Amino acid sequence: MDPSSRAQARSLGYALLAELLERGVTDATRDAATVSDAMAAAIEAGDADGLAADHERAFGWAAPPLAGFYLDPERLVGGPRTDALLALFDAAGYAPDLRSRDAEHLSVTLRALAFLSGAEADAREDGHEGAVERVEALARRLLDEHVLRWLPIFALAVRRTALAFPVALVDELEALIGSHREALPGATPAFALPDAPPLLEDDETGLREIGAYLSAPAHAGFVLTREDVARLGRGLNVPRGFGDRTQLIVNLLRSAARFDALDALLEALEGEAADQRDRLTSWGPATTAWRGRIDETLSILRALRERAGALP
Amino acid sequence: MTAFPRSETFLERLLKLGRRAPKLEAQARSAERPQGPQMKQPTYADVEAQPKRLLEVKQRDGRMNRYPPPESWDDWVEWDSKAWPKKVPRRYTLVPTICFNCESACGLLAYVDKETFEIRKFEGNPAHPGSRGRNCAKGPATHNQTYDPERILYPLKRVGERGEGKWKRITWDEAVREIGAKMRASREKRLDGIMYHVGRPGEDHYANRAIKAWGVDGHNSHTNICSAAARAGYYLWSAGDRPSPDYAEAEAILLVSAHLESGHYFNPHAQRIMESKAKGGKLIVLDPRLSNTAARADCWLPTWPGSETTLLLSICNHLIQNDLYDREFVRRWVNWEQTLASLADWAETDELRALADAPRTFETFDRFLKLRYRDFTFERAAAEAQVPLDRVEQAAEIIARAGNRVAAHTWRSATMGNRGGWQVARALFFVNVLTGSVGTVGGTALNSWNKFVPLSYRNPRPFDAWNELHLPHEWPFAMYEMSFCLPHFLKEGRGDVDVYFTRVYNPMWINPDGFMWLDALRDEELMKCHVALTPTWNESAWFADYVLPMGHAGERHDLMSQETHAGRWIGFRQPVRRVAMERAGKEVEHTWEANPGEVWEEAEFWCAVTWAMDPDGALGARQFFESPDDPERPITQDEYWGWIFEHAVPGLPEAAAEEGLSPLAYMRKYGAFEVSKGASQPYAQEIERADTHEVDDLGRVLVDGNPIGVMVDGVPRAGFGTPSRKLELFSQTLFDWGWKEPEHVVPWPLESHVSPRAIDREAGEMLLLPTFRLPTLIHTRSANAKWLYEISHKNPVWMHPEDAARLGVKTGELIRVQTEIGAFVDKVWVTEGIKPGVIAMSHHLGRWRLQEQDGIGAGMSNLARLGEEGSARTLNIVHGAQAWASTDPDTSRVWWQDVGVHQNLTHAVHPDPLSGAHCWHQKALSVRKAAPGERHGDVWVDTEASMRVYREWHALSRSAVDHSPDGTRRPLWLKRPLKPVANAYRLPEKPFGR
Repeated sequence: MDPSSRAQARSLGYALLAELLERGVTDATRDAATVSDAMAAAIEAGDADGLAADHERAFGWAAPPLAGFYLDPERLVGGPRTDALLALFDAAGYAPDLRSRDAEHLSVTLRALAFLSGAEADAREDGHEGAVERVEALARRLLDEHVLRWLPIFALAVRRTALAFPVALVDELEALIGSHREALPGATPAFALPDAPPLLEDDETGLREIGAYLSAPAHAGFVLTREDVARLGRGLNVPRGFGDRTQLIVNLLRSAARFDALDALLEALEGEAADQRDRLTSWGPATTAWRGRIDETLSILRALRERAGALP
Repeated sequence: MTAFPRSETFLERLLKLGRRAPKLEAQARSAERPQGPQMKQPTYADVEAQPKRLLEVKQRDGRMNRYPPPESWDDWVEWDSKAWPKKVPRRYTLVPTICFNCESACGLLAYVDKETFEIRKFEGNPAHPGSRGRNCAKGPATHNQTYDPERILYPLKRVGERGEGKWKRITWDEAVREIGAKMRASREKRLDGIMYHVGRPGEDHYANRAIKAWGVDGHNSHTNICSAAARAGYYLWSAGDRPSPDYAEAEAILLVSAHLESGHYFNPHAQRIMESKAKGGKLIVLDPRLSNTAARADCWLPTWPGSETTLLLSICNHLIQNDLYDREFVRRWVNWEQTLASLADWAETDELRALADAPRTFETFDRFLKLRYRDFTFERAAAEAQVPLDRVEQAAEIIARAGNRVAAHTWRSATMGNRGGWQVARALFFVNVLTGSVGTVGGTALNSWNKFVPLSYRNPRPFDAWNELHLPHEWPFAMYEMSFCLPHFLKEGRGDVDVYFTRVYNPMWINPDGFMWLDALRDEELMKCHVALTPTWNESAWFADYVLPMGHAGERHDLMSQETHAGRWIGFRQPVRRVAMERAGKEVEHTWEANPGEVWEEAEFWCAVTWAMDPDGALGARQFFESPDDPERPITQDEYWGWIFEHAVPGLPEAAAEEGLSPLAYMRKYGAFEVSKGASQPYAQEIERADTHEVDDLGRVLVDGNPIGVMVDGVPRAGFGTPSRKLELFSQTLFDWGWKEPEHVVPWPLESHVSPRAIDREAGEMLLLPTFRLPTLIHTRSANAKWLYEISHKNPVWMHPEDAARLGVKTGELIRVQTEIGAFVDKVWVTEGIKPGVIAMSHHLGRWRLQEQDGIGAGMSNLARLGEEGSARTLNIVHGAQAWASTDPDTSRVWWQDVGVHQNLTHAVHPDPLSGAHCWHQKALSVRKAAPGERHGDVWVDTEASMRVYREWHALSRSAVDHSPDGTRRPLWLKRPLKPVANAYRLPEKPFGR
């Protein structure tokens, strides 16, 4: 495949995956999605309602495709990160329609990459090397400064759902982004997650603060979904109550403390964190940052176990 | 060699597909330059997010417990929720105030934007001891009321005929000057020409102080349609007129009410009831309707209305016959000796009369109790109440096991529904007395023990006047003014009113027999000047001469306290925009300068209008509103409240000093102060015995002939405020004033006007129960709170499936209900949540307006036409609620049409012969499927029938003219909101009608 055709194909791939990520399998994308064997098998195995439900379960609950969910300590979108994205889109001549979606939604960046890849294909066909370089530089920044920073943890969160179509989708996405980045010059720069709160040093730290820490991927380094919380609770036979995800985690910690299962819960959380660390796909500096943060969390959980064990 | 071989196949297939998928190709090449409005890109304020540790309030269930810490209230940054998903910081100054949407006085915290001074939202105030940071839906809805596009923003004066709807905007100066002149003219010729008729008081002394300053008998209240019967029952026992249960520590909670969802103080009460339940406390609820409270009860007793006294006395009897009552408490604190001494005068059996001659010992009294109440068996109670026998037994067992931790409450419900309802409150408090649960931990206190009202600044002297329209001689025990009969009194020719202030009150709509009110409000000879002080449009204000906009919860100064739990506190309502502006260094002279439009507050208005009424001080009124620093200018709010907080609230100056604040600054910062904690029994307080004290035959300690305490086991103690200084099982006062029968002088059932005997169900009669309300509604002010109205806006007729089957109606179908004076048409809701034979409708709904564009919001009211022919009056609905365009885009999203039916128009007045309370339950003479042409919301009334029913009930009263033992109008010890001098109690020389 020549570079121009490859860029053209990549453009179509980004557009297709953006549409599937945003809306799931629809009549408009059903045929195109079958270009992937894994996606085709998942479509074949499920009905339309089932596919839609899986989509919501994966991307509405377990693994929101929003940068802020993973990178922001409060799990919010907006602020300087959105500004930087919009500036890049603007530089690329891409004006996303933000009336019904957020700039930080992965599908918006994928559409921008589709647009850039299309421009690259045209530039190559026309022999405009300068234009190719400019387009490649913008694509590299979109990948290095945005998508790649959270792709490892997002992809793992999707895979952990074990839902056929979302997993197939994220597999194709990782491969497409990987091959694209491989074709771009330069190395991915270093990346650091925001500082985590000093839980162990703060005398005011209680179960609420620990719960808040664990609910923020940017702090804990891994994603604890509602289903994870439910599974942990069932495993230890302690209730988790009702509420948002953070509240569920706090409830679980409190219940465990009340039913003398805190040590077992902390141990289970260590296992959870270690498992996710080991399952992270290697994406260079980003994966290093996420693994490093999980290691910090593991130290905290171990220290908490020791302190809890020392209590009378 | 690629590390991602999978992508090769994917890309190759896509390339092939691309030629067959032009849409995908177009999407891939799209630069997406969308047409149409984009999401507004916010600008970012120049601040960095600074994490704050939130204040934690230890709520026992762990919920709703994190708040901005008070040290950050002056400068609080939050992301703007409307800008989501953008992070747009907004700076707020947080100003505490007090909710005004029921009488609980819960704490609110207003988030006022520091740049624009707009109020972003209202949340709970964690520093408030009563509500503890929590609110019901009505608290946050204050924001709706503040920014209601239909609210009245400027003073208005009528320019057409009354009710014509022609208004002109005037200045506050004009309003104050003109109204002040009318008040002066009235005051110069009489002391009963100015009437202040209050619906929602929402404050504890300021307005009453103004009335006293004017020197007139001018206070009129809504109490007689609200709580008069319960007050009478409690007062006759104890000289306290309402209960204050310590729910949180109770073992048993006995409610003749719905305090987990509605009712007075329901937010502070509900959270404490749940605390008790969480600790194992048991909840018993008497209610013919499956309320949300009943649904949470351990024991629900769906009593037939009017049978509650019998059922409660069966519990008392269980305690008495099985010696399960607190003998020591009863021996020490009940007037048992006086009771035994009185038996010869009223006891109806030889057995009981014989006890009068028996030794005056407590054993004899115990014998009396056992004889007197022995017929109140569980079987009798179950039969009269139409409830299962085992459930009555269960309730009695719960009470018997609770010791002196029985928290009980009744306020409206059965007491206000039935003739003789005051005996329901007497029977309920009898349970408290027998269990010794009076002021105990987990028991029931009297309101004055848990409510703190500071002495006012320069308290005016009592007036020497008696307004016959408030308390006519026929009802010497009325608690309080006979306000709902005012139009009937006017029609009878008992008097007229020079200046009639309605204050957060919509008498035509909220009272029974509303068409009588309509006639009175239209009559300029009887109501010479009507000034409506109201935050919102209402049906009565439409017929006023002046409509003066007064503020909501965040727009006014008031001081409040309520008996929400075992402890005392005060709460300070503030105009939050004004406070925010003053914090920012802006000068505000009048609160209306800071409120939306020119919305004012009564506290400043009363001051201004008193100056206008008495500009030279000749009437003696102005002196009470002069500045302490300069008598030539009016007192400011800072001066007034500063004095109160400095001099009249124990502990507050010290608490303020600890923070380096003045008492006023402390209250402006926190909005509340806890005066004392815990249950108290002030009656047991030992008093110092002086040589000048005398002790009479009743054991009362007297000073100059006036009782100040009572001897208990040889120790002088404060006792109660009753004539005997004891809890009065037997009421000598009732006996002396003509209520001599056995069923009156001690707790005893009185037959209700809607007893099973009075309702001929075979003939199709039913009982209409109109006394409940929906928890999110606020009498007539809900119509300015869009959130609340979206939640609840209609009041269908609850009907049991058996009755529905008999009438052949299904949910949603129209029925016609005929009362004693008229009829209305409403939809039916078939439910097992109501007893067979009873139909129920919530009040608060069925609002109407007369012009399409003006008055109450189109989404919250019906457009109606009024009709009149002879004594017949009609209200017909032109159309229901509709969406409408306004400054608030939500008004265009109104999706409902049914806003209820104004049932009160068809209710005859039922003044209880003793308490004067309106007995709300109505006899439905017929209930049938609506005929063709009968439309939802239509109302028809015959005002001749109105007067006939009024006279029937009037005939049951016992006038002071015939029964006063001492030539006075009313027992002096009975409560009045504002008591005149003793001289004013003399019966008039020419009583009306004699």
